Amino acid sequence: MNRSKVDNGNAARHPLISEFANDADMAELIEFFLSELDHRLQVLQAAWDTGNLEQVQSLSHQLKGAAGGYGFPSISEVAAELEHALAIHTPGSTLPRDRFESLMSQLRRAQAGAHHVD
Amino acid sequence: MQNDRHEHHDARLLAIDDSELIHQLLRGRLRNERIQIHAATNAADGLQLARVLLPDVILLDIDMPDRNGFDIIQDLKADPTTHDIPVIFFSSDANVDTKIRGFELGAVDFVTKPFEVAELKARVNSAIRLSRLVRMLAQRAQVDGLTGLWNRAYFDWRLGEEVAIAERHCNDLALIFCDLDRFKGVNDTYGHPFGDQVLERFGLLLAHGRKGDIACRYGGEEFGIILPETNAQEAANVAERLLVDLRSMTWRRDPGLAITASFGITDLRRVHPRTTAALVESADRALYAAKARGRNCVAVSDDPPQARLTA
Repeated sequence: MNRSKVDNGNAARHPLISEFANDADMAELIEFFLSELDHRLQVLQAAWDTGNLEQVQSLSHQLKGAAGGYGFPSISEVAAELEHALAIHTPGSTLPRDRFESLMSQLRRAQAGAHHVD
Repeated sequence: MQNDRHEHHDARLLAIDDSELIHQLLRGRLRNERIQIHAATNAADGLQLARVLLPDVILLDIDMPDRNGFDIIQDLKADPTTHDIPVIFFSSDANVDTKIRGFELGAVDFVTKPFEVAELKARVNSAIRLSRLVRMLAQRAQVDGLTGLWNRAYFDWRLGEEVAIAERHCNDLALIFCDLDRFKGVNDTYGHPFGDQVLERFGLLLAHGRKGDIACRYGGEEFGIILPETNAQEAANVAERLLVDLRSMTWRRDPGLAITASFGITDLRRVHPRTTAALVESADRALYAAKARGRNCVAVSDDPPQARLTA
């Protein structure tokens, strides 16, 4: 999977930092969000690989609603785009792969940002 | 004061949302607000917790996998134990129709996701304040929480006062009883939230009647209006006007629907002895006559009025 290698490199070069990174009240919450990311990425990838679009849609719906609250509005945005693309997707038509990859790449960038802070 | 237990504990918020990310965020962000946060991640747990906890406010997600928030609020509103808990909808799909639907089903407010923390706090606190005020008024000032009219207890007390005053000054005193027609059918067909809307709007109509008249919610879909210095004939005119206004109301839910009511009227000169109990009984009989006549009309007690009192 060349694509994911490229993305990982990209993520490391462009880490995504929470808008609330300087808010002491938010430190614990952001940490919780980031600590879950690994698992979330895996579940999303597995759902996508097995064609479980309903689960991908539901997971992106949750990220749309929550990520902005943790200081990652760009994740909310791409998650909303993916959710919308899946909502109007009809069986047999082209999958919104680019939208999916955008979300994954944003999540990886946030993950890279977590290590970056340390 | 001392019997209001709600003043003494932190406000309880129940969040019903399928996303654990949201629950964590709420817990973290409302940590310093003196609000206890309880979480449910599906409809069944949410309804169960609402009944057990009786929270001060419910934050309800619209898009959930098992049942959506619109279904859940209808269950909350249909259950008398949870009926009065204010519900704030919580959704990332903030189009106008969704919001209006939420308000029509009885929500007090709407917060869009992702949410601004300061705004969420302000809205939650405002909903809690509002529900406490409504509850306080209902307990202490004898106001009906749904319609804002006087309640039954106030009606009983006030009618006693007005009868005594009328007797002292040899004044007229009329009483109107009215009952919304086939209201159970309205509830069954359109749901309880719509039934509540009908009660609320009819209550508003009664509240804006003549100055000096005292409009009360007698119970369920029955209302009583005390009209000092008014005889039954004048009261019948008041009732006719109310009936015309009610019939001409339009209902968004079903533009073809006409809600009607029946009115029974009496006054102090038609009852013996001149007591509140006799007055209530006479108005009730007249109301029954209006129903028997086919509803959607005004009936005056057929007891003959006694000669006008002289001072």
